[in-house]
Amino acid sequence: MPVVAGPDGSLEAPHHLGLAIKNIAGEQNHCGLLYRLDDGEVRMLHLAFHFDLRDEELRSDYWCAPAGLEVENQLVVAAFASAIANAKPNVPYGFDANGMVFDVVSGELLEAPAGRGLTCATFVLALFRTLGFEPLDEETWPMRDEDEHWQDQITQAMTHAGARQDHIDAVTDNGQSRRFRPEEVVGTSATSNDEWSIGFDRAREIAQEVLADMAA
Amino acid sequence: MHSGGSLLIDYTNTSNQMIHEHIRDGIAHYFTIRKNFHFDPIDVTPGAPDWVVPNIGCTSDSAIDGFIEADDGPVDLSWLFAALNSRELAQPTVANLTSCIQGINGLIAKGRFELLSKVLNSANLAGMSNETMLAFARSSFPVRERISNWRRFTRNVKAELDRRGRDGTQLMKGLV
Repeated sequence: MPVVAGPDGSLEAPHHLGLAIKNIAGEQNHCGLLYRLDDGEVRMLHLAFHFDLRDEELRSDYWCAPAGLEVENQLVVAAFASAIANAKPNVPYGFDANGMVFDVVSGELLEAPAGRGLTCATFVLALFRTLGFEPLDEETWPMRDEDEHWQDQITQAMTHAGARQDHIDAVTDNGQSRRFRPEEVVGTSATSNDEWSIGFDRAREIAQEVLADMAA
Repeated sequence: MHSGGSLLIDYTNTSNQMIHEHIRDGIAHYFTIRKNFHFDPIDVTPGAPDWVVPNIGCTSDSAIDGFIEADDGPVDLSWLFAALNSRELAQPTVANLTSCIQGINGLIAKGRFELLSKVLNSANLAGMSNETMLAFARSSFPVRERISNWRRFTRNVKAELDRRGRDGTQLMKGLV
């Protein structure tokens, strides 16, 4: 049974909450949170890049999966995602997401000094964490050598995109951070929450299934 | 009398009191606004005396336009009436729950943690949908340290979910 379905995936009733993922280039994937409105429209809330949080209709090139939550909790998270989308928060991009959660009032991130921010994947995790959900056991995540090159590339892209130099400098000074990859976040969040908080080894297994689904 | 014990009776009474105050203030708010506007009745019975006013029905839809006046400004509790009676709805909607979450966020934005504590601890859970109870608990989770009896509230929600045959422990995972 596939973890994600697509491309041209969607979020069907009775589900109200889901995950979406697509390949950007090479091994780089992008993910976001799906929520279904009362009229059936499926929206995707995702951190596209530095200060670029988007809430838009689900596009057809994504692979999708319902979230591994009971329908009641799916509705609550969907409503929270809708509230965040309405708040149009400013979300910086970065790697050191440790401890960051959304201010439920303003939709802004709490404790976001220069150098801290989210990626598309940690944005999804932060949204869950704000409501008391922990899809991943983040403490089990290792630093991986192959992520260092990825961080360098993203930092360069942030520079080209006009990110403030103090933010770039602080991101660089923070050194390497644990990276939560989109396929790991999507795969674990789509797994039944009986298994949450999922450790790294199990998450890697699920992530491999997600990648296999997308390659099929 | 509720068989659940005195605590639930207190919740119900306090909850009703808040709703009644809310409706009362909403009506007062309506008449305050009404005094400042000229109305053109669209249907007046010929010969009716001037003091006859259109029949104004107070439903849950119209009552939720009210505000509670507080020392530090009005607090919009228009979402609360619908939330406390949400079990009447066949299926809670994303729009209703978003309104509920934004309402709770509004209290947090104003730093009204005491009022939020009162809202949570006086909520008549029996009248609320599963989703609304979960929305109350989860959207207040980030400020739980500022809310007195937040843990008691979440325990009560779990118990109510269990009583309805749902797995309260599973639905409240991460909170209790």
